Amino acid sequence: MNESFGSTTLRDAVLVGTEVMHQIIALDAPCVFVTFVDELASLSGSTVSMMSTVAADDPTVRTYKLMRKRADGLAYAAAIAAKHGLTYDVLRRRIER
Amino acid sequence: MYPDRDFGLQHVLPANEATVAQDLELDTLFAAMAAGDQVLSEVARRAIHLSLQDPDTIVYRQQILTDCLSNPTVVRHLYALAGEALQAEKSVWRGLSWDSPRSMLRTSVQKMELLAGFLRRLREMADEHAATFHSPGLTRLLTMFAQELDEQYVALIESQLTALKFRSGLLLSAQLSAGNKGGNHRLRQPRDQRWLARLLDRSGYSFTIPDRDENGFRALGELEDRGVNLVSSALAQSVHHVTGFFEVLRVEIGFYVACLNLSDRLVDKGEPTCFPVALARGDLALRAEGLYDVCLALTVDQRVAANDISADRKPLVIITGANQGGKSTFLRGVGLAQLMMQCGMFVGGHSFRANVCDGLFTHYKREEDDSMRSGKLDEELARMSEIADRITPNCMLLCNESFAATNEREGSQIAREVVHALLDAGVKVLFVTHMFDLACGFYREALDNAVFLRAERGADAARPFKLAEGKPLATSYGEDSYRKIFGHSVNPAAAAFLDRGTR
Repeated sequence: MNESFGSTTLRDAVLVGTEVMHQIIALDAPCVFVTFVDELASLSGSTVSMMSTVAADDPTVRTYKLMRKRADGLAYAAAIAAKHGLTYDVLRRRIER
Repeated sequence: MYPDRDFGLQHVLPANEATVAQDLELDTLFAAMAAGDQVLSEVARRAIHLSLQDPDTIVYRQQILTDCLSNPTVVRHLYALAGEALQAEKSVWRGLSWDSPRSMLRTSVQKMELLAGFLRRLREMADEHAATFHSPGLTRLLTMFAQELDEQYVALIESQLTALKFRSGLLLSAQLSAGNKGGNHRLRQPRDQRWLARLLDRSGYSFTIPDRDENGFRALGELEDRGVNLVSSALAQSVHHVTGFFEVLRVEIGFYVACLNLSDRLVDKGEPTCFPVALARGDLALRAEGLYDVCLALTVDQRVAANDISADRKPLVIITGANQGGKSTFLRGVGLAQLMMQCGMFVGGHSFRANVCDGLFTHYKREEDDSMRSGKLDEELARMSEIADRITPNCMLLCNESFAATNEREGSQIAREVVHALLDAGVKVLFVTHMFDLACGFYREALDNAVFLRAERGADAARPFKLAEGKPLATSYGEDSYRKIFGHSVNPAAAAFLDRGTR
């Protein structure tokens, strides 16, 4: 599943995602789930949490390596936004011009 | 289309034209306006994208459209006439580019004769219907027809065309030039001489080419070509001018015919339309009653839900609430109304009042997955960056689930910075989001320049597609969709656990 249940609020995504995952876990069916909802990464003992990682010295550089790791809530999105010139200060200057 | 200039088909459209068209589903609108007519489709597209920024010009078009709505037959007839004239001009065999001046002249005379007939019909229409129109734009147009295409003028064209057929021969003058050759050939207007007088010309300066003298005839033909060269190209140019006039007429009247087509569709469905009130650019306003999404109305059979909004002096509108509750539809409805207002059309609803903006931008979550190329977030941010390159103060930005391609906390953080920067730069922002962190954050800031709308959930999980002002909620009632699909509810204990302390 790829970012399933993403088009609702986080609370609803956790709720619906948990519900669906519990059913899959009960079936003991293998499932790979790409998600930003960290809660789903620690649902049961049979859940393996993997994280995609970034370069140690530059969070905008993706390593494309997935590590077995607890979901820590960091997606380093702000770094990419900054790379695109979308922080408050830069954006103000870009539009004022 | 403008009180002071023509509406050409050559102006450059805004760079974000395709994006806006995709996000607001403008093709549906253009198709309804075109009603199968390719010319109207192009006119509609250009008129919608080339927004007016001046409320006076908007009123100018509104007045014309009001006239058209009360006299649709005459306006459609006028449009058809312009089309027929252009068709007729095309139907005359153009000849080849290396054709002689004589044959070019023959073609031009033929074309001009047809066009003159259409000019006369235009004038006759103007004479007949002038009194039924009251808008400055149409009154001026019909007065122009009546005055400048009067019978005397058309008759003059026709008599000159008759003369150019040279039924009674061609009168040329020439001078002797270098080497005693003839030069400076000119066509001369013959004196009104009777054929008998000419026949009896005894001046002695005449000769007859024998029947079989091919070279003689060729030489005579070349002489004629030199003589009619000037008049031939002058007439070709005139044909070009008159054709150009009909082209402009077809495009300008075409816009209003396209509006009539759309109006017919909406009236058939019983959907209301109204003329919006356009305020000057600095006069921040957004207020509507019974506003609906015209494109949705054009695609479904039943009547569509309508909504009110009151956001005068509020540059930020945050829209949250029930999944499938009408948020996107509402956002599109506002965008469409803004564009339709700024091209001088009616809008779908009971009332609409807003300031004109310098440009409309859209940033929508894309359903197609581009992650194979750049990653969803990266793609979304790149699009926002493109917008930042082009957007200026007093523009309007519609965001639909922007920055949802990362986790909620970080997405909200990016969105917060972007929105604050846009607001401080003077951009009006309407933002549909499921990010509670973002919506609630703005709500807690208690901004006096923001309005919070929430898509409602009715009893029994119904979706009335109504939006009301209200505090953002942590839930979008995603359970309703779950129940509908899976046939049972989510674990109530889990829901209670998640909602601890929030309700």
